[in-house]
Amino acid sequence: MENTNPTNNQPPLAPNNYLVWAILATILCCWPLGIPAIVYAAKVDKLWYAGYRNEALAASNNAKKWTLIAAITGAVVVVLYVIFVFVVGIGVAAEAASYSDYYYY
Amino acid sequence: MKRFLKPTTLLLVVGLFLLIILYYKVNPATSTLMPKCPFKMLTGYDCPSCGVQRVVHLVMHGEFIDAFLLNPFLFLVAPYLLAIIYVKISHDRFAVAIKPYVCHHIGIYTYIALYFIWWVVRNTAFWHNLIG
Repeated sequence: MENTNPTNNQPPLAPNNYLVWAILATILCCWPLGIPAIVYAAKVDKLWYAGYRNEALAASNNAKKWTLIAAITGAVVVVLYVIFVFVVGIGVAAEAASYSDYYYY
Repeated sequence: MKRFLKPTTLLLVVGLFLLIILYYKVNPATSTLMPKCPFKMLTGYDCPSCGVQRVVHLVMHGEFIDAFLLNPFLFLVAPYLLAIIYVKISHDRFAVAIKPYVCHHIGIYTYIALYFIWWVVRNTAFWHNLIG
């Protein structure tokens, strides 16, 4: 970070914008939490190439944070769903067994 | 000696392989165990990526038209996503050259706009009539 001059001819690489993970989060896990991740991801390169390097790093950290939140929430929802299905499935199976004289599933 | 694979990469590859087998074998449209969209369960409306599991299953079985009609948005986004992944993974001259365009904020904001437009459109009677 010693050189923060935006007109430098050989700028260092922009920080990670986490765009891949942010977009995958909106498709695969949890859409409402993936949107802020994408918005921050969009800001990273824009700010970096405009010379606002500290702001770009802050946006990069925010993109990472929201992507993680979206991914973890998505994973939790999937796990809860599978547990829910198992619990309901066991309940229905027990119920069906108690009526097994009348119903054959 | 250079290490062949990092443990995290190995884990990702094995996980991806298992997921591919799972989505080839199990039909998400009929299986109760496959995760359902929380938004759809709560509201009854489709979210923008509802159908992604069925699309993956159908594509792996060569049913491209059914898959496309289920969620055209995913097919529209796929090239964009592949380009971003390519820029992320590869560091050759071509990847470096296209990165400013692929990761440009106009493209990203377009993605967000399309995401919400598609979300509304797919829940209209117009779309349901169109698909039949």
